[in-house]
Amino acid sequence: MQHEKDLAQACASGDRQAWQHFLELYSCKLYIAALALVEDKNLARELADTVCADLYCNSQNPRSKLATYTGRGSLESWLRAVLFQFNIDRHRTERRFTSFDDELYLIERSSALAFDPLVRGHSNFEDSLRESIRALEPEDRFILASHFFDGRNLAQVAQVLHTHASTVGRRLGKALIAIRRGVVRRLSHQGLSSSALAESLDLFATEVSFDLQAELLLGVDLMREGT
Amino acid sequence: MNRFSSPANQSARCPTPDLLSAFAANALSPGERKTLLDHLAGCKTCRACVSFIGEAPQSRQWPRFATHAAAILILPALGFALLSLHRAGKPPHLPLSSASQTPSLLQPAEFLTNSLSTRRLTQAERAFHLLTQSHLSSSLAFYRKPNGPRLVLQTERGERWIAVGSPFSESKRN
Repeated sequence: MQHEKDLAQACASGDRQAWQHFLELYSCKLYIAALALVEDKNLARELADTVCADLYCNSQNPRSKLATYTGRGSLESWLRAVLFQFNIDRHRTERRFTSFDDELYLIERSSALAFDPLVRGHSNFEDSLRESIRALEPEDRFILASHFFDGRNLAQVAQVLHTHASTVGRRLGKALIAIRRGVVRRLSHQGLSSSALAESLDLFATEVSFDLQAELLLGVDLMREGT
Repeated sequence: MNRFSSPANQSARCPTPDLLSAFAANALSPGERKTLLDHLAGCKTCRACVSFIGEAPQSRQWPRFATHAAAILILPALGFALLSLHRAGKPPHLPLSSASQTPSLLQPAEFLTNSLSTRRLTQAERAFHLLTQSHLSSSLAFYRKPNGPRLVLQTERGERWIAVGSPFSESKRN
């Protein structure tokens, strides 16, 4: 990747020939990546062009972002990351101007939930769940979040982590067991009896919307047998 | 240098594109990887970004495919070339319908010397050898038998036949 780094450095220093070469190599890839991101040809073209303009070094933009590329990853993946973050920033900026009402609704809803007796009744449970999740290794938490919150399958998570899907599956299973044990231990310390604990788990899994509910329901029977 | 702070990012704590691309290339140190995974576990946007980077066509897949394709193309070609070389080394195919046609084409001694010095005898060469051993007082005939073609050498001592098209075998019939 040394030649990619050299190219990026040359572009960042204002070399016109290097910039032309960079465009020949990566403008098409940028457009394809943008198209995959926004799924609209015009918007994708606009996004790719804006990123290119942002990377171009001239008198108005003397400090090109290409100077921050260190060559540890490929230049293409770096560009994809830049494109993605640029799109997120653009989306957030637009959202700030257009959907203030939506944000107000979310604030009202969250404050209403805070006073909901059902939610308040389960706050101990949620706290223990969060603490159990926080106690996991970062990689386990990443697997958990990618699989349950983002809906990615084991193969997709494994691809990101450069490992095998079966390894991710094993780690996920172990993480879930650790979470269940952590929740039970924490709630037991708070003085909850085993029957109250099982009831609480049942209620939480059916009433409160949480992505781990199915897995926790599976664990309820195990805990009942164990206690 | 704090690699988690980027002025271009809205969320100031999100990692830089350089760090994310290095993670995608599996080029981070264990400490950096742990810190980044810690952030990724709690940041849905960055998880989506890492996943988006991973969706790029992997250049590593092409050489694997190329190796298989090259193996499929090269191995038969290599086999064919070896077969051609093997055939080129053999003596010209001689008609074996009768004994009067066969032995006079080559000088037996010269032929045998060349053959023995380079490779083992083929069936036809073996027949020539037997012919020379019997001082040309025999006859050679070629028969098609139910279990394959047979080269039959008739000598004063009896009839000897050699299977053609199979590993060398010899039998003696009286």
